[in-house]
Amino acid sequence: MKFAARHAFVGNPGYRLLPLRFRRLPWDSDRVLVTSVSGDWLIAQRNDFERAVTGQLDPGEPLFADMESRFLISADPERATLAPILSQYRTRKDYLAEGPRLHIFVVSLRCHHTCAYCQVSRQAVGQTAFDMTESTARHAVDRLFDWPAKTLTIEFQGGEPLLRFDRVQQLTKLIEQRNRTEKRTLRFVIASTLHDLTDEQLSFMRDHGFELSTSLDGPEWLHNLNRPRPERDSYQRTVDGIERGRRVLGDGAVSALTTLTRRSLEVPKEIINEYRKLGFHSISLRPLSPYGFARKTGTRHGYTIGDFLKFYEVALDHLLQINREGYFLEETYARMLLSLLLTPFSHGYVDLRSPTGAGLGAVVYDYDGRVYPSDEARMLAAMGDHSFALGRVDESIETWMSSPGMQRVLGAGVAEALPTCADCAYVPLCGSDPIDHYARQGDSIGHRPTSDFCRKQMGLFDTLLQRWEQGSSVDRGILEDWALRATRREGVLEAA
Amino acid sequence: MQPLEAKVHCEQWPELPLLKVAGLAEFASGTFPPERMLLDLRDAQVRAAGSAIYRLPWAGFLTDVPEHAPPSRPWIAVPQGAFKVGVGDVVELRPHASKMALRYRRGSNNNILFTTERCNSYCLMCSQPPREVDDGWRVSQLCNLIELIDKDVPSLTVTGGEPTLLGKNLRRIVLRCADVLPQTHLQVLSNGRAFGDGVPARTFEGLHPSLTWGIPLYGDHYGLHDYIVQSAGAFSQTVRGLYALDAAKQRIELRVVLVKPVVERLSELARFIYRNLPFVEHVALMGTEPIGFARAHYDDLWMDPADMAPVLVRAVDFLSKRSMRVSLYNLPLCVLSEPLWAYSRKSISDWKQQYLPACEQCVVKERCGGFFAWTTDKWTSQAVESVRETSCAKH
Amino acid sequence: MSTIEVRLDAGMFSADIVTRAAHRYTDAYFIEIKRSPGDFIVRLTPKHVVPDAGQVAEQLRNDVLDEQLRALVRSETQDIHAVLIEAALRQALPPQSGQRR
Repeated sequence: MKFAARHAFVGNPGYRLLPLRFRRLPWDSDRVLVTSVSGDWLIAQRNDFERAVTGQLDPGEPLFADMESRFLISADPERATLAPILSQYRTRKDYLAEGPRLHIFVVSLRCHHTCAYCQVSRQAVGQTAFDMTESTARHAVDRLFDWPAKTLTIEFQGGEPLLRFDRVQQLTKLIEQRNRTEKRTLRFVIASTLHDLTDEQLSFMRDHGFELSTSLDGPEWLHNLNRPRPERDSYQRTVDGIERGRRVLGDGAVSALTTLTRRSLEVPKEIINEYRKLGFHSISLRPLSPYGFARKTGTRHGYTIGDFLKFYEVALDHLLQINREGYFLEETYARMLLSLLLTPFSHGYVDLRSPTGAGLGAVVYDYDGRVYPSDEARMLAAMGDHSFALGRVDESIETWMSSPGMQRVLGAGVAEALPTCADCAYVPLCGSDPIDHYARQGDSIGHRPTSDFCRKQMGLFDTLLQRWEQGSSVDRGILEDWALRATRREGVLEAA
Repeated sequence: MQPLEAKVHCEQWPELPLLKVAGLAEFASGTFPPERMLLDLRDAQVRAAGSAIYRLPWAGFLTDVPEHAPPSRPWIAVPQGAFKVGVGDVVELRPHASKMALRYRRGSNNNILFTTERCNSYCLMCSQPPREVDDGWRVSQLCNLIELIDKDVPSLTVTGGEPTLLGKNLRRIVLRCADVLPQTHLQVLSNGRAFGDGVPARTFEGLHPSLTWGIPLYGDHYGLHDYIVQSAGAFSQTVRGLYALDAAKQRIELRVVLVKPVVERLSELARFIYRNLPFVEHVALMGTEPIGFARAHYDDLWMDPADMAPVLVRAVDFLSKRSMRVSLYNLPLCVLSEPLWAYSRKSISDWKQQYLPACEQCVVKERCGGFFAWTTDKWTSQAVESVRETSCAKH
Repeated sequence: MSTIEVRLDAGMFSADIVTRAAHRYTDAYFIEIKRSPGDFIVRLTPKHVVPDAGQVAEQLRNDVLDEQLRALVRSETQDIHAVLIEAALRQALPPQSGQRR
């Protein structure tokens, strides 16, 4: 038996390129990020990369094997296999498999607050005409189970869903009853201010395994400034609600998110320290969207994405410091983006998907029986624009999927096919948001150079990649820890 | 090292049987028919039980003293020496050659079902060099052997050569194990190439209650893997086989022998496994067994495990953070940094295992797997020495 | 605001490449692309005060070189890109909505 040397197994000389995209690193223009069709990647010197693209790589150099291993190039087709890149792609797009898993029930538009940035167009507490009727509720439950997903996350939103808690209870019971035959895995979430939570409400939520998602904008003075109530005590009521929620449902069942106003952007460390003080291990730093009342009050409360990104860098550094000191505190959006960069898996967030999560990953059942592919579509309708409405709860889901609204979503719903996105190195990890582009730019396809959505995504990807790439091994470990713990939660995480 | 075969004295044996060695417990339990058992007369208690037991239709008698055997009944005498056979063991007797071979040892940490000497790869470090022979006769012998194995043996390994070369008979063997030994975990060591080449993996779906496939992967690109296994196209077939096995809901362990060219790209391999094969449930990083083809390729293959330290730590850390179980096989504790000891297993089969003189004072000898019986100086790390103290608490 | 002019060799770069590169600057600049024998002239007029206007010309040249590489990649991989996605999704697509499991 003759043994052959290494070079005998190279096969046919030469190699071909596989679909790839690249981006010069903003922090080092001599190097490029190169991504595969599924979002695997490496960073290389730009001149080496140019050699690779122009067919000049030597099979003996490490970069050749590195690029082969990531399916950026392929050598002898008789000996290579593309099965892994197909598997990676399917894994990355795994959220396509079962249809929408996130189902948002807007039980009422009524709310005690008058937040200027309100994305919901809330109604005053007494306006019961803006509550979901029983008939709508029953139809919505029927539609819920028309979808095939084996896991269903049911999220109750408003306004303030606690103001119509009987409807929440009824919906929960109808769903559980129906599920005895359906046997899906159910998750219940309620997005609420947690104000005036009664013991009865808490018991019910405990008995049905609810998770609570609330808004906490930061320290007391900031939270009350952003979220006015006539009694001026929103922060205290929120903290009371959090404590009571934790006591009855467990610490892990209560999560909080911020909404960032211009004032918020001035105090990143204070906001984060507030979350630490209250014992949270997870914080969501969400920039404002131009919906609902936020659009009307934009000039007073608005800021550019550039401002947000600067805020975010300070926040991220502060979070890393806190984690270095031994206190685990992740930022949820960072966690998702890092899981995209550092793992092969898909994630549960409907707002960063391609094909878009609107309608394909999430469905919104509004109080009045109208149905939308996303919260944003619903908010547009509340402002008078029904371009993305799917239909009504008493129609079939097939009708919804073939509605003009859904066609408009799908027509611009695949990021890889959109101008400028198609060439972006981050597109395998990114998403499309036709409704956001329509709302901000008047066109669902959108213009990427002026797109806030694009700037935000690229800015955050760049920031996180740079921190990971150039960070100390401790910082890398922290960021990897966030990514590897990434759960598969469906997270639109809109809170009242 | 304990030999697996010896010359014996035997009289009156008509055929080539597989026989289980029986003592009083086996007689009492009735699990196996006496026709397939050898009554062990070396035990005084058995002799004391007397003719009542002898009259049963035993295949024959095992004895030191031929006179102890009942007249006109077949007997076997095992001469004094290194070859040990005990109650519960299964032996294969070849009367014309006066040879007895051990096919199953009760209490061993590694009983194997050896399927064939044939293989479709020719790994540079192969410890069981393949032979192109027609040994299909082994299939029915294995099916017989399975029936004589203790029902409570925790695990068995199906190996070779390449078991998938048995074609449908591999499934037959796995099914026989599922039927006869449902409590026994089965590991099949295979290169998986057949499943990437069109053999349907789904024939194994739901077949056995506890089955894992142990499949070697040596590189993150075909040039390296195909070189190690000396077979063009092997990487592609094995990788496609892995996907086929996963689609058939099979449990998979990847095995990586730590020869020098593989270690040089171990970090990249770990990354490749995570990105492309995240369904793998276990990764075994294995010290080289210095026998077979390995000996001829020392210069290409040998790397002192002590020099692998940083790469091993990185790979183990990388995989275990990503929820993949990792184990280190065939590496003595003294060549591994202490944080890696938790991943080290006593993996060397007892019959081919030894400790070295250097181990005499070692305080962690009990936990350590030691060395292959056929290790030589040049295949032994420079760092081997007794560990005098350890910061780990005693387990 | 002063207009920045960048000359690019039309022998090396196609109109498509120049346009794609220039497109990236349409957030902060009004763009005009003129053709002269042998050259493209890209004129960028800042929309607001842009702090690093001085580096714009170098950045644009870098982007043009990058677009050229992208064109190479596109021409070589367009076909296999479609084949790969189709092969991957053939197994992954969900049942038509409304179909029972």
